[in-house]
Amino acid sequence: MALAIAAIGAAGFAASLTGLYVGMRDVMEVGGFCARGGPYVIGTECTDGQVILMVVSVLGLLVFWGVHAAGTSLGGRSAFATSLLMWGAIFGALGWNFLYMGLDPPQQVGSAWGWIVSGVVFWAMALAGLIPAAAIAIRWLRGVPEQPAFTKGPLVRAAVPTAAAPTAPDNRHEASPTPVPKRLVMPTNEPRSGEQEPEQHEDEQ
Amino acid sequence: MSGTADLVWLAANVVGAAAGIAIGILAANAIL
Repeated sequence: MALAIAAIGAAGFAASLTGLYVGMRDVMEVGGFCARGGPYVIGTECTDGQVILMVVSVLGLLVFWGVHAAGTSLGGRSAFATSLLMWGAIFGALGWNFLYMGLDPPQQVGSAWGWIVSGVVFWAMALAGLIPAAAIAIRWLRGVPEQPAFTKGPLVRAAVPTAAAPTAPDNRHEASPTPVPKRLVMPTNEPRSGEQEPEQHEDEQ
Repeated sequence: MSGTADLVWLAANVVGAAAGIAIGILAANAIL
């Protein structure tokens, strides 16, 4: 079951990435920009197919990435390594589009340096996923057991002594400068010594 | 995980991805 879910996720992801790759190439061949609707004059109108293909492909990438990760996790395997591969596939494929079209731009594109820079940046991002994925693959080929990405134990552990440790004497009260009262003394309304009752003047009567 | 199970798992993913690429090419050409 988990294997089937993972395979469906891989197929859907690959189909979505292929659709995005072809749709991106289609838009770049007409200048790299198209638009629809709005109050402004549009130089290149997007076709229905371009809009549908790009939107469905991007959403499909996200959905099938999640499907594949779910199937992989259900099968007891780490979805982290395959996610790194998918990351590298996305940026590698789209970066290849940028570089290929940037080095051989269509007629209506004056300068394609922006595409070349984008392609280099995309490939750098792809390497950021592919290098750790390759390290994981090498460890797998060597038979090194996979380390969990997250620990299941407590992050903070108490240092419990195995033998009874000597405790320091509790002399906090002796060091206190004022004695601690044994009980709370409630205040009374009676005047304290040295105070006098307020005098009543006879003139008031 | 045993080596055979890993290989089966890897093969299923590779076959799925290859089928997905083929489906993607056919679908994209049909849509555009």
